Amino acid sequence: MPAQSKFTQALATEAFIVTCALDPPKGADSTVVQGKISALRDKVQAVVVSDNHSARMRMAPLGFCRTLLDQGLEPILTLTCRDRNRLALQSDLLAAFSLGIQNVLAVTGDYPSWGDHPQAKPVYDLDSVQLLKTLSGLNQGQDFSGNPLEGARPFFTVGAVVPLTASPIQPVVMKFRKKEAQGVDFFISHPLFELNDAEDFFKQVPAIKAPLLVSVSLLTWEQVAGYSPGNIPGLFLPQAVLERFSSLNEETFQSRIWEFTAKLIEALKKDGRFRGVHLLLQGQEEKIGELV
Amino acid sequence: MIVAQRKPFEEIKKSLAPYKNILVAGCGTCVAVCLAGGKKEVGLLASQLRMSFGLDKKEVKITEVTLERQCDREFLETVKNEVEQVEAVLSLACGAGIQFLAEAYPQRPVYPGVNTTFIGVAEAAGLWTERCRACGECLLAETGGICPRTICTKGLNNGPCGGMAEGKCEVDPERSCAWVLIHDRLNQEGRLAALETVRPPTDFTRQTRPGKITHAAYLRRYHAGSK
Repeated sequence: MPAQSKFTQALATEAFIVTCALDPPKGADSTVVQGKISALRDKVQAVVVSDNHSARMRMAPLGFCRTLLDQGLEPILTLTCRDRNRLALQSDLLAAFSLGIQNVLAVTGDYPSWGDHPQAKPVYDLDSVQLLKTLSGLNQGQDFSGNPLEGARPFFTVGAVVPLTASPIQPVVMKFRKKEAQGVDFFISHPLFELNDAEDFFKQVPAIKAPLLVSVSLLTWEQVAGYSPGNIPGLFLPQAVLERFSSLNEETFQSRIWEFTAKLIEALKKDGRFRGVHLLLQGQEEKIGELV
Repeated sequence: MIVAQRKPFEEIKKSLAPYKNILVAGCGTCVAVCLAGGKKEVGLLASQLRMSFGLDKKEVKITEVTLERQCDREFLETVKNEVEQVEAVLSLACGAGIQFLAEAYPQRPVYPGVNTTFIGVAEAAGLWTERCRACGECLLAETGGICPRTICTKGLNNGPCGGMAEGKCEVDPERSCAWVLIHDRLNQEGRLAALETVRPPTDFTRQTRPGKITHAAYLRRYHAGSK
């Protein structure tokens, strides 16, 4: 039986964890992102590989995760409910495990209208809670219909997303509880920019059983300049951040946003409620060394 | 009711281009209520076609008829004479009515004049909104009378997605998130506990197309099982 994944082992320690998001290439050639892969090596405990991020078609994360493993990086496979029904989700998961990919982040997935194939049929046969339940079943050796799996059981390390700063927070907490009940091994939050923004959530959820990694997004000038609530799924910018950065020209913005992000990471590290940070560097992965 | 929208005039005209003797057939029920294919719309479209073909110096005879319903054989039979006297029929009924008309008169080409869109309600004058996806396993009892499979764009069964922003839908910021509406409604009714259960996924065997239902009293007549 293979050992637990390196990421799972890291979760079991007291060490502050750093993960980073990485999009597979928009093409069949993984070498186009080689610079990013090399930069992330030795800087992160795991790389969260996106699944047609923002509904933009890219190489399947399953194949790209294997490429990362071959290069000694620890992948976390993101799996959206948007593009696959329950048959495809499970068969992809079994294929992933057989290829050595053990960490999975189960997400609903942005609607196709956000992406580059807006006329695509959205699937959403399962939702993220049901996908987590499916993963739990696979780990117990049975598929979603209760049929036994052949051979050795997989043992996925299962992750889920939690939007800490959503408003209203009550329906989000209700869904979080459902996810938690499925035996989630780790949570990754949506990007947080100010600690205060998560207070409503933590008032209702004083203790999270599973380790929580907080997302830190390196904002782009375009995101801040064009921001309105809801114009980018999952991105909620506090007023103070908007006021601080929206009036800057692009050059000044670039220099200050790195400083802001580095300080934010330090503050989150000191806070004590987070087991690690998940970095969303938005194309700047090669410069990760400036932050961690 | 079934809500439809009339097709663009140019698309309709193009589909009828090969014919010189056409019947425009309306339907007096749902499509009449949503101002897409009732008697009034039949008259307007027939006039528009006459004028447009006239400007093209093409002689076309357009006849008008509006049936009580096009989704019922007994009403389809009432237009037998009209259909037999034309080369083609343009139906302004919903997709079901158009197909049933085409089935009833296999010797005549039947063209659609509307796009059938959804099962909905008349929210205000001239405004219709979708309310039901005809999933075959109604769960409104548990969701405060608000259907997540219809009102949630993603049709999620267990709560809002991460794209919900300030109570609005990820896909349309003008629209409230279905799960925020459901949460508020059940909270108001003191039934929030109903949301704590993890709901199973939608059972798509109930949506196997084409659907078929036999009333219990007619099972013997049709030798068919009820879905």
